[in-house]
Amino acid sequence: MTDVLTQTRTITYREAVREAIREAMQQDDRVFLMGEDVGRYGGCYAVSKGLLEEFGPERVRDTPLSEAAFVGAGIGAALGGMRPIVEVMTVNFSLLALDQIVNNAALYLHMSGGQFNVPLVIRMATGAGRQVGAQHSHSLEGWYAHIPGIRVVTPATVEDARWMLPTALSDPDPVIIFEHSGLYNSEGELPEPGAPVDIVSSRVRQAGSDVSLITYGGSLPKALAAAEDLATVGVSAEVLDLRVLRPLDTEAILASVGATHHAVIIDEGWKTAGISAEIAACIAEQAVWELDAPIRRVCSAEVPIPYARHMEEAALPQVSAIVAAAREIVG
Amino acid sequence: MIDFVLPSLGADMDVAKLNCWLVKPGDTVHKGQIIAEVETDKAVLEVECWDEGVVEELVLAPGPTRLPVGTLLARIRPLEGAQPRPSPRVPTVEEAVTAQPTRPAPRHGVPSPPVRHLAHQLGVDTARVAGSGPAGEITREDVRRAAEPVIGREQRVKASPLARRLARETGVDLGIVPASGLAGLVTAKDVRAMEQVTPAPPDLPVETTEPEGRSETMRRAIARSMAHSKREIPHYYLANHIDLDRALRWLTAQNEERPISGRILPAALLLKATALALRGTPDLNGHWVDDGFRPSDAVHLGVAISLREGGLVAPAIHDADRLSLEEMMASLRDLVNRARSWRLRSSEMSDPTITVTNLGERGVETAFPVIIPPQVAIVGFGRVVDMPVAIDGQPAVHPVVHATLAGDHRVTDGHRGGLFLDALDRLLQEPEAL
Repeated sequence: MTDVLTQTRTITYREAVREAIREAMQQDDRVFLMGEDVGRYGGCYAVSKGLLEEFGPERVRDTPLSEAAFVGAGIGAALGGMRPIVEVMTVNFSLLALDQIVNNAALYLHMSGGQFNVPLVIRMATGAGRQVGAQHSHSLEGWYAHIPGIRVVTPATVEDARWMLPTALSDPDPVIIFEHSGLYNSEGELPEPGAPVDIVSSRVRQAGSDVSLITYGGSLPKALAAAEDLATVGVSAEVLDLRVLRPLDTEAILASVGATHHAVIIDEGWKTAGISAEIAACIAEQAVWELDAPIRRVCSAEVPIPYARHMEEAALPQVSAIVAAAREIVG
Repeated sequence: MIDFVLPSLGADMDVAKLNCWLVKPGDTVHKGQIIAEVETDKAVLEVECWDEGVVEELVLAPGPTRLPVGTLLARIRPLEGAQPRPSPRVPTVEEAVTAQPTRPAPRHGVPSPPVRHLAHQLGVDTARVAGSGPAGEITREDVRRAAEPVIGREQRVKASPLARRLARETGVDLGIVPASGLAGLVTAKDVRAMEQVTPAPPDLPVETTEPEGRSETMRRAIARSMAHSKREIPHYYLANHIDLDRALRWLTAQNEERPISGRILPAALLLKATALALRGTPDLNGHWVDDGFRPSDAVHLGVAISLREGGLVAPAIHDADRLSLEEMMASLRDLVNRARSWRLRSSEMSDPTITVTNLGERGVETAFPVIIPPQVAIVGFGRVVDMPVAIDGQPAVHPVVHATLAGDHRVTDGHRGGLFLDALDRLLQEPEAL
């Protein structure tokens, strides 16, 4: 019924993020955007284009090239009652701010005995596929998913890009939003009128009965394409978009694997000690008796992501590898 | 050096436990000597040696490990001048399928240092390992495989956790489930397929005493063999009434002159006639191996013997066509006694070339038996009943037995089967010639 009444409009992922930021700033004076090149340049991925003109330099702040300084300033602002959105160009550069994120933002609530919470939102681009070299291409979101005290979300659809932000801003504690750089140009259908979405649960993007393709972020479109390919050979694949890497929606993972009895995890991070390992462990610990075949992981090759196009493609999870893994275990 | 490996003791068997050795290193053994006792799903079997020689080494100690067919059990040094047998006896399907990689194929050349290191760690003599590498090199995998029987590792069934759970819930024995999954993995689908073949009530109390446990595994072995037969073998059935008036009269007269212990039962007569009738239709006597029929020169007549605790075995009476009636009777008695005390010999279990089932003693008039793979025919006899028959146009009442033949249509057609039943009938009309 609601499907009939819901209208949609086509929008890019980039525009969806921009709309989300603009709306948040329009609705709440405490919200401001801060980061490298977010103002005059319009953001390195052109997400914040036009926002400086609309909201002025007080609320769209270009920062020096010092991640530790401006993330730390964001934490201070949040503690002081503001609702900052801090943009870090890519997760690779966020390592300079790890101390602020891990030792401060994630810990203050705990170390102050519950007196100080940090309502901070940090947005970062992540992922490879655009030939920008190893120092701009890694997927380190799994590192942040390791840390108690922060919530890690990975919008993969235009709806999540548009509607996760207000929920993140209303969260009293730090939320890190990972936007896969390969998704900014992608288009999708945005339901109208929309509403904030939860940042707790995963979503089945395509239902299926033979194998669960468990993924998130930039690998979601690949998993959906793989599911389409698999359907042509009679394998019904379920695609589970995790959406939230911390805390993991283990219930949904277990429910899907419990129904299909086969699991393929697709993650652009590396296998070793990665989020894919955490998901596999969670299945092994809680649903091993549901497994009818070994778990398979399709991840990036354990190398720095190469610059050359053919080598970069070879290093990243691809649709064919997902299809092959699923077919291998489904038999 | 001759490798003494675990022989296949029946078409439906691929593992056995080594119960005990009856020889020790240094003993001289001769062909046909019983040198070990093993236990299969079906029976405790005495394993014969097929070579002359001196026991050099007993490679494996007795234990509860289920050993695959082909596992190296002992090494025998041939006697001076003795020739090792050129080839083993008639191979069964299972033997063909489960050829083990542990058989030695001594090779010149030195394995790589890591392989040598691994071999040293696992106690494997690389001179006895066949290489599977691109140029025949010995790989680490070869060494590991070679080490498996030596270190007595349990032959674990590779099954998915879900398959294990299902098997537990439904009482299916994972060891008998054909695997269809990744790298030989038994999957839930495989267990469900097996469950349909052998519905096992899950609520049965677990049987713990030895014979009951054995009969349970035997039940599963029968299930596997018979399911395989009905799945693979296109059976045709023929039946004939055979007048036993002359035969039984003759037998009664014969038995009057014998001591009670030496009396011959009609069953021996039927077995002898069956063995002789096969001479005219050798294509009913043999095995279906590797997609083809292998006739057997000898008639090793399998006799279906039902056991008191349930289940049945069908060991062979060797060279049944060459036995006198007295010898046939003695063989039958011996076989039944030993079968019921679980003491059959390996060769008896492994090489019947055709089987006879006699359900007459159960009061059944007609049997429609199922062929035991890899055999290609089975003969059934029902109860001997008094029936009206026409003799020279006049009605008379004679003892009559209903003889059936189930044949493998891949090997023979009904015409050949008909010739056999006809020959059987004629032979039984001249009992004194048997």
